Amino acid sequence: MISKYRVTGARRYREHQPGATFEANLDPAAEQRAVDRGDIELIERLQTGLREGSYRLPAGWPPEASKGDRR
Amino acid sequence: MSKRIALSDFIEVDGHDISGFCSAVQIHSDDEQVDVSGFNSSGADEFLQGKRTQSVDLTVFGSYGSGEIHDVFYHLYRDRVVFTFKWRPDQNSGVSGTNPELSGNVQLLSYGPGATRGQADSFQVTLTAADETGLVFGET
Repeated sequence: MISKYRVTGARRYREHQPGATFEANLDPAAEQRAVDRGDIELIERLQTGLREGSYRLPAGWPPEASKGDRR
Repeated sequence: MSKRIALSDFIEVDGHDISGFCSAVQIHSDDEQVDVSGFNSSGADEFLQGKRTQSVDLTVFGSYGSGEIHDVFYHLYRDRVVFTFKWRPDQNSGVSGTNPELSGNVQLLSYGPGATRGQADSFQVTLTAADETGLVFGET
């Protein structure tokens, strides 16, 4: 999962300067090591996909007949 | 390509920039020489290029603060971690044809810090390529 991080250490992390924020899909174990060393802090996990209400479907979609079809 | 004085090399271990804690880097990439000699009129040997073993020697300054050499390497060794390694000649420039970057997944098979009275605390660590990707140079 892509996450947003801040470089909290005194040295660059994956070429990002101290204090910089970056987005990356880090291996969970590598992320934990970097957090434990004080290299980075997790700001947030970024959800991929559409948020409810952030999009509109074409007029007449979905068709009435398919509403409630839970197959 | 002009000659250079090695001053601003970039060295990254497990995503962590340790350039300032390294004073030397030496890449090794060696292929086994496999003897496939048969009887022949000249008596000369014939060889094929066999298994490839790659490693990197780093001379590092012993330092024991948070995020420093011991903090980085000891945990990688203790936990038998496969981690990323990068090196390129100039940290002030991006990766390019004239500033190629060596990278790959490596492991630390031995860890032996030490010190000599009156001298800078430094020791050597050897990183060994850990998977089939090997250590390869990239130019982008």
